[in-house]
Amino acid sequence: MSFSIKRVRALTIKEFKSFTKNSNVLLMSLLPILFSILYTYIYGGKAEDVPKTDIFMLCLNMNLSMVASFVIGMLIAEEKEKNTLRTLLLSGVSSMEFLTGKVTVTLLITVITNIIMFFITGMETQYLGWFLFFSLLVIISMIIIGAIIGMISPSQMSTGVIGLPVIMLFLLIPMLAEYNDNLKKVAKFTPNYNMNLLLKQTFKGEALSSADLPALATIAVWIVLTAILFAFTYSKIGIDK
Amino acid sequence: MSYIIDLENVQKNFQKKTALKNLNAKVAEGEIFGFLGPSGAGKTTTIKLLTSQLLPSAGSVKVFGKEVYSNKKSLYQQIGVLSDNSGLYDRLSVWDNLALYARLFEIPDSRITEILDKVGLTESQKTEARKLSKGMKQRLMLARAVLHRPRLLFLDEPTAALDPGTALEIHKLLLKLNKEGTTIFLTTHNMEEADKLCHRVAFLNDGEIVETGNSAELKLKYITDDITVILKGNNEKIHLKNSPETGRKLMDWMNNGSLLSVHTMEPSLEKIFLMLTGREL
Repeated sequence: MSFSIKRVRALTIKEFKSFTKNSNVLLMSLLPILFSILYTYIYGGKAEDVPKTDIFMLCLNMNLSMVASFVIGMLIAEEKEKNTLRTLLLSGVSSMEFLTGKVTVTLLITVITNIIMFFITGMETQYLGWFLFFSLLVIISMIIIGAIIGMISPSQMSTGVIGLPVIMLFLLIPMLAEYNDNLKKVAKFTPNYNMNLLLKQTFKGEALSSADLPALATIAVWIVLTAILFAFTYSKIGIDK
Repeated sequence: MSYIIDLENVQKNFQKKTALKNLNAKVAEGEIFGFLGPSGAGKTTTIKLLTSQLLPSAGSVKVFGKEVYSNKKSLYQQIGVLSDNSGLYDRLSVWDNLALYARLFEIPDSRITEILDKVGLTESQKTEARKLSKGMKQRLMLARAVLHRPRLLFLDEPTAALDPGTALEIHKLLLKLNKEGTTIFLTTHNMEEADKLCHRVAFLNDGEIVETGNSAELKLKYITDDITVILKGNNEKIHLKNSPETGRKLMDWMNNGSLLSVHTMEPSLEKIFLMLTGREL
């Protein structure tokens, strides 16, 4: 399979130009930022009611499930729906080059959104490094899941239907786990919940210990599992079906 | 003669349906070759095989002397494809749509300027693709297909659903490209278009080629004996069968000075297709 950095660069530039004019994707990407502004404005200065860590965590999980997963899924599905993917492939672009362009733009948007929200909600800058590291690990599996959704979905609209369980699993379950023991048991197997545990500990200023290994291992297992699922889906249906 | 396309005993099956049966065709460099047939005859399947989007069930599909599937990378550098399911980036401008492909093929921007001029879209280069008319979109897609100066251009129904004026513009562009050396493989069910553009045509029916040849030669081959006579005065057209009786009538009209003209009945490509298959296009 051919891979050219120049072609990936051309595709990434196209993605950014298109992103700025895609109202669906733009709105979806801006929602977590808007929520972080809104919650900070509403609950600002009332840390005893809703700590800023909780506000940040809520917006972060929204960004990871809605932007990291959905945006790449929508971008891939749109190219199939409008037959632009077929034209690209007939111009010698390989599936991997095509996907790398999509992953690059999604990754950058997600990370930049995360950083913006980090500062909007007033998190301490000293934790930025650890935050970026833990969230990046989860972003990887979220993007892979999004790419799978994009491969399966024939159109932008259908990414919503197919992707809904993803939101349920990765956004709602970790969020509601605090209120329900059964959900908590399920949440322990999700990467987002484990990321939340690690981040909360980090934001409290506590050092990581061997007790945190299961959480890190769960996140790593998700990366491996989603990569295997991606490879399987790709081998079965390819990128352009 | 060197053949740029060589299809030998090609078969393509889709589950229980056979789309192509024992297809044989050769296209020489510099030709405009028309692949004609009704919807569902196998035209698009043939283009998909030739562009390595599908694998043949049997037979050999060669482009530039090599099996297409084993030679994809080099193939895509040398071909351009414009099909009815080609797409544009709606939100990007005309220029940006072409700029992407210029970067992919490592072509300088001067070529974009040149091709925009050729397809008459220079003034619309900043317009978003979604705001273009159907004809302009088709011209943009054609510009994109030939941006990298391909040796071989595949066109799948290039003027379907276009108004006659726009179709005429596309025809002019295609003739110009061919004059510059681009070989064109064209599928259409528009016989008038094929007659006007193609050096040779092949009639495809139910996945089989039923006739191949130069349009003028085919018309001669399938010419009927019927004649049309126009008499002076009322300009009435009289259709007659070739027979001794017709000969006598012609002599009479000539002798009494009432004969204006005699025409042989040259069949159209559409009529030849009907004669060969019993099917209308």
